[in-house]
Amino acid sequence: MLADESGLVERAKTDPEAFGILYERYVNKVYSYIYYRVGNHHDAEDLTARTFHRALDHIDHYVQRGAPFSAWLYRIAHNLGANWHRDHSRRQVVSLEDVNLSPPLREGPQHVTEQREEENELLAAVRRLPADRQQLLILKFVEEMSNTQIGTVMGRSEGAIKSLYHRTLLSLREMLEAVEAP
Amino acid sequence: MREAVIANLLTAYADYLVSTKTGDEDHMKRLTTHQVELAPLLQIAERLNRALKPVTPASAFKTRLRQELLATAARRAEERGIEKQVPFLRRKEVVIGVAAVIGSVLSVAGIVAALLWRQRSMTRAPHTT
Repeated sequence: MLADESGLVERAKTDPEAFGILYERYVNKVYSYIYYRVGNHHDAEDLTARTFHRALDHIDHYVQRGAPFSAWLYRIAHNLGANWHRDHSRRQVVSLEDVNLSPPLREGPQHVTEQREEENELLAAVRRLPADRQQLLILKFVEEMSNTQIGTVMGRSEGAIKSLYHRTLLSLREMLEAVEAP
Repeated sequence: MREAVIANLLTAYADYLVSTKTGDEDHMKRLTTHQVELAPLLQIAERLNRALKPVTPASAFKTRLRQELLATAARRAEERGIEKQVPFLRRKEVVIGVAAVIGSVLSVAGIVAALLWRQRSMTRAPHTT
């Protein structure tokens, strides 16, 4: 897979079709990642487009060092997300109206509503976390990456990722307790 | 040391959740039997696993972006091709320039030679008459 990908990345430097294949392979993942960083589809589309345009601009200088190509894309997306948060920090845009959190309607509508409220509360807490902790949770639960893969994307050791995950859960517990306390 | 063990247990549980995409109460009980204080953190992990699901972009957006990227990539490839041709064109210009200079020099030399030949003929002529 990696060998196949490294050949594809080399071709993508000169062949538009090869870049198109890479795009198809990663666009959903990048979009998901950005969506949870910004919280709305409009900005997620804008930043996804910018991520791939930037990748296209710089792919000539991309050097493979054993990490998957996706790690490079996630880093671009992460930096753009960080810039977006810096630019929007005064406006505090946290839109959750488009978030599709509805679980299958197996149980009563009241249960579903409660569950959705809980999930929205949790997502709001996630967005208040520092950027690196948000990144870790998205890579773990949305992108379903292993600790090693997350370490590659974030430039940290596996042990550091585990430790960060522990601290992130502790922070979330505190934040949720503060929200849920009467 | 203890913190490292807890971090290991928590990430193992997250991996377990992600791989099955459903919470396993037995697995959680096994963990909490020894680590009662972990229960709230494991519950948060389960909530995260339920809330953080992959989101798919609109297909119209995906198609439009793909077209934009391919058009940009194709334009750049074309520009690169033109850039590669430039040295050849420059070489051709240099050859033409050098040929023009040589041609001019030869012309001037021809004129000078003709003048010299004519002058020599004229100086030789009075002796013969």
